[in-house]
Amino acid sequence: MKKQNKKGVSIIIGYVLLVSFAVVLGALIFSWMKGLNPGAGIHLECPEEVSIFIKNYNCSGDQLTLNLMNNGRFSIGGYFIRATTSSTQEIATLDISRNISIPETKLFPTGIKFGQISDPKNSLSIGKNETDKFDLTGNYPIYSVQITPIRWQEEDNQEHLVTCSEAKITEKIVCEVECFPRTCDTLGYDCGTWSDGCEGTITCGEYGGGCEVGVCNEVGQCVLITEPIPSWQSDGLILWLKLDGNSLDSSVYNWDTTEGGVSYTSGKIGQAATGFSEANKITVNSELDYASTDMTIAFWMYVYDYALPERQNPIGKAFGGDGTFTLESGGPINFYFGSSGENSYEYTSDATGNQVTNNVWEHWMVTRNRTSRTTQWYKNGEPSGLPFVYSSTVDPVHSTNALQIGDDYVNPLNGRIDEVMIWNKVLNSTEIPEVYNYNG
Amino acid sequence: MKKRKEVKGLSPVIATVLLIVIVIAIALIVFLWIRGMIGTSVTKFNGRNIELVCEEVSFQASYSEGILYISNPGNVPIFGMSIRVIGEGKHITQDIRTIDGSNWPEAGLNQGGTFSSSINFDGNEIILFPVLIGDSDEGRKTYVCDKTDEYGYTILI
Repeated sequence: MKKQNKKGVSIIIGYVLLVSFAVVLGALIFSWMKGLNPGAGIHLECPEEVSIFIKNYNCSGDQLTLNLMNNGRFSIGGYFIRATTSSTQEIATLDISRNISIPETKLFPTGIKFGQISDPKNSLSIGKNETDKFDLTGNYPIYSVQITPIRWQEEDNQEHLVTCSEAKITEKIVCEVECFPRTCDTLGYDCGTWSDGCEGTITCGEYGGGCEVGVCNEVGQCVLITEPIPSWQSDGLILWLKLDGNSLDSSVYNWDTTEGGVSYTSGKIGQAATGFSEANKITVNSELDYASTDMTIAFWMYVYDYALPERQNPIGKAFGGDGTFTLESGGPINFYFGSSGENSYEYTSDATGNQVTNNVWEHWMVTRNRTSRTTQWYKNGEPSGLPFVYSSTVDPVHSTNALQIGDDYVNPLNGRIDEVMIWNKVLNSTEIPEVYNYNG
Repeated sequence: MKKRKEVKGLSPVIATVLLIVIVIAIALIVFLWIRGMIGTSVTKFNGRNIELVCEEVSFQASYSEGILYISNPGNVPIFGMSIRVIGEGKHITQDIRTIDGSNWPEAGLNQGGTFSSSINFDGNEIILFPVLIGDSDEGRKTYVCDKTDEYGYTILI
């Protein structure tokens, strides 16, 4: 029996299927391969024979004049111009096309067009030249310029701007910005450093224009210099007689004082008080208390003769109370104080380690610490003698006597006294030399 | 001898249809797999594969006194710059558009465009790779021309 020849699809359908597969696969592969075809798409390429050069240039004042010539075999449409602003800069990045003198007729978004904007493209013909001027006011100094010619070319039925990077030229030029004295106003701020071609610094107040005398802060504003007040002036100062022609107290307490007929003459700082006698002395309100707390007393003294009269009192309140200074006939100064609260027993004293020198301004200071029951003398900012420890029986007691400058219980001072200061604390090792070095 | 009975599992028609379906399915799978491996095609300049456009990118760069200078004297706009900073036993890649203090133009460096900005790099060498932007099936897409030997611009700091 003849076997029946059975087929799944007809021959025609089989061919149709085969062709369809081939077409579909071909289309897919084509679309994929199309992107890899080097010849596809637009190629922007400038002809090799495009060439430009700077025929000459001139830089005067703040203006750069460039004369560019087309020395190639194709006409040129325009150019990019970039500049370097320092001798170490390798790549020109400063776009000075914006500084062209007539931007409305020549400038397009990223470069400069030869001729006018309305002129035909690629208007700089072979062998022709064109001069352009650039205003460099306010710009950095120019060290070199880089000119890259550009052309408009038709590609794929469209006009494209093509950069002729192969024809790029770089020319070193000397074009310094004219420097002139800057003021605060021209800089736009009060002070500081500028680097717009004329590097320099403007200091506060140097050129006026709104600057004040002071220091320049980080945002270019002048700030008045205000020296910080030293702690010896701001903390614990309860009396300060500057004695500059009067007996006024310059501390925050502003104690009442009486002139007492003293005279004033040249002092260590400004003027000093002198001419003391039993009748002529300065007095300070009796409520001033330097017995109840720690204390420091400082003063400048110029003694004409420490032996005549014997035992002189530059400062006194009560030798058995807050304390009194006695310039002994041998030259040392004794600081007397005590627990009676008046000029009577019980008292003690601490003498300076150094003697007073006649006819010399000397700075004297004594501190008293109630806790450690210690006193210490200083002469010209340095310790004078050893610390003196006193007994609890002479713990100082405040006296109702007025503080007297120039005289007290023995004899008046034969000399001048200046800058009498009293604190209700013991000055520290930083403050002591500061007080001595204070010069007003 | 008893004649053996002829038994068929599938009719010829069904077998042929199955064969065609299986072939199509396998072909489709292989095509999609290969396409996925190659990646989505990005084109620029009226359908050119952007990888080929990378070859036409031209830029200059230098680094001096803490300032990075870049200029584009070519005809291919540079959308961004990928910077590989190489230090002692390490390297990191930074996008110039996101570096602190960078004033990279939002539209990139077009023809004739220049860039200079004070940038500090924590390393002793940087390699700059231009980043282009093109068209793909998924819309506008960036592409890093990151073949070191061909497109990378090395600067010693």
